[in-house]
Amino acid sequence: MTDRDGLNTALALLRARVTGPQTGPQMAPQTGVIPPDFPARGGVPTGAADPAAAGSAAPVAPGSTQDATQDTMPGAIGETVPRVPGVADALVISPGVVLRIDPAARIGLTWSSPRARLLELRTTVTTPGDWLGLHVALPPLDLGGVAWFGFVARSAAATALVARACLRSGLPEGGFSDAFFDRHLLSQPGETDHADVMAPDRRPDLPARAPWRDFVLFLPSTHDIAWALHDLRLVRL
Amino acid sequence: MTGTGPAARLPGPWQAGRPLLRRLRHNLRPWLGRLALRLRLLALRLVPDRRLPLALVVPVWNDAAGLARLMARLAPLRLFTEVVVVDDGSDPPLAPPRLPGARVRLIRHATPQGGGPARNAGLAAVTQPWMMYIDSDDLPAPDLPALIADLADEVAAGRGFDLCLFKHADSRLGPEARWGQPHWDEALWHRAGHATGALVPARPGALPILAQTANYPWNKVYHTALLRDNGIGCAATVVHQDIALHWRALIAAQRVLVSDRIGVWHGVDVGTALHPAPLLADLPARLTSRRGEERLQVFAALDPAVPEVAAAGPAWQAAYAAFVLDLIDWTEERIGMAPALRLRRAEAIWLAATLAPWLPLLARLDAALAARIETRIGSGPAEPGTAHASAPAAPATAPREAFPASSKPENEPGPAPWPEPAIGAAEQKKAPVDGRGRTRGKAS
Repeated sequence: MTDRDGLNTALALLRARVTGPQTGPQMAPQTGVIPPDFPARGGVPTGAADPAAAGSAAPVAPGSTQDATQDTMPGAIGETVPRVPGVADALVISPGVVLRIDPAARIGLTWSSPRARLLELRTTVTTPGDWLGLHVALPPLDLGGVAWFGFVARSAAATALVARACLRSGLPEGGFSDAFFDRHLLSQPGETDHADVMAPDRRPDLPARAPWRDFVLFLPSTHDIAWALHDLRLVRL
Repeated sequence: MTGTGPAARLPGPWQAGRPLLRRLRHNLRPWLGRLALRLRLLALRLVPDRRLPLALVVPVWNDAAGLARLMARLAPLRLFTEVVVVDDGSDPPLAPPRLPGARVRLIRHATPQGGGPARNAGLAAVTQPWMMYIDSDDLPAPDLPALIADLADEVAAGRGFDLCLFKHADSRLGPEARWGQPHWDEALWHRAGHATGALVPARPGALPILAQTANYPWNKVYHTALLRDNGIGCAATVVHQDIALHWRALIAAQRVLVSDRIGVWHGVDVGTALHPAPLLADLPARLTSRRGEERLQVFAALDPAVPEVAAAGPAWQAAYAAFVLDLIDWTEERIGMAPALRLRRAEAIWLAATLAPWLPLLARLDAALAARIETRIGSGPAEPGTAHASAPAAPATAPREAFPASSKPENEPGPAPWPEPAIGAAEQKKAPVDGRGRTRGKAS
């Protein structure tokens, strides 16, 4: 599958860190741990400038619009990034691939990027949050004339869990809009494939043009999970 | 040369000696070719081979097409540095296969000896530090290269391993459009805490649980020395040859890695939409179709692992006991009424002789399991073939009562002619076991 639009660039970078030529320290297999009592975590942001952080007062819901701006490259790989003073709510997995966590939550993360897979993630929830999202940065994407936008994912989980996927679009006036895919992604013991598409011209909640876009997979943030994302491909048809 | 016209074809001063140069080049070409080949070979020797020094043992009986399929799938992967094919008396004999990047050896048995002896012969011939089995009617799965590369990294980092257990894909899930293990095995992986994880050391306490999965020989990468130093191999019984290999290897292994990667595709049933029928169409008759007395050899197959299980402690004893009870139930479903009666009688004798000494410990660890064993010991018919018509089924508390038993021998390389069944489990228990875990004097 060619990736003319660069939709899968961030995912390819994540995959290549292990499977591709290892030319530098940043190319080594990545692992990381954030303890649940990470000191910078906690507190409810006020006036947050981050889409995820701003959602603490208003949980992300299908089609919701939040007053925030986007930053898809918040820091170095493996770095937790304070988006507002005293709050670290994002973990950079790879350039363009970021885990964003409800700042009000206290969630420990252990992650790795095994060979030929994208991500293995374990969470330890001390204080449940409203969201835990895996964000994949997309290039500016003109959806005008696009019949379908979709994704295919292969995943597994130690205990069955449901994730929801959405296309998050930045708004020119600030903030963003989420367009959720209809089908819930079920991960369970044993790898399973999942595919879903949406038709942009039938989604009023999806702007045809946006200053930035993220593909987001929302994972359970209220209980511990052990989840593996073997593969993820975004498609435009 | 870009010139055109007659002038362009006139020889210049520099072209005067051209025929001589051409002859020289012509004469040197073969020599240069050989030199280039030698340089390449030298470079291959100088550049370390980062592959895991891994041998593959393939037992085959009258399945040349399957072997050719397997080799064709393996050829582009270059996973193995050595391949040992054991032709277990095929008629006609197999031709030596070829596999790029691997040293291939063909061992031939004059007459069929069965899957266990064939695997043992292959193991004896292996020269590489690590090895695995793949049967001729199974295939490498797409995740196998990543798994073996991960293992190579482990070894390169100085962290050796004795055994790596990985998941497999079962063709019976194809009609459900699923890819992976049957749910009964997946449930055990979940119980063991290894449902996910590309490559991790076995968690404490996980191995006795994982040991209750299907006793396949090919869902593992073995340290060759682990098997050789401990005299571990397959039994020579007609059925369930792999029980000894599976349990003894898992118990003896010091460092066990576990991977949720699906390494091997196991063909069990006829074709499906995902895996077309021609892949399995020409398989020989499977052992699961055996419904006669030969299935009573299950007790001889269970014996070789008993000493190690007994010495490994109560968790292993409980795991083995649960496995045995399920296996007998599974066997009963596959044989006729008369053999079933003898099976239950033999079971009572075998359980009394083998598992009864474990009961005090088992009762403290798993009272329900101990009760099941006691029930079966006590319910054996007094006379063969008479009283057991009302033999109690396993209680509903059986953990995997609804599942087929774990040791499914349907993928053995071929049904060697089996001897008259040896019914007496007690007699079979006394059969001497040689240094490689084979019960001497059985089915050979």
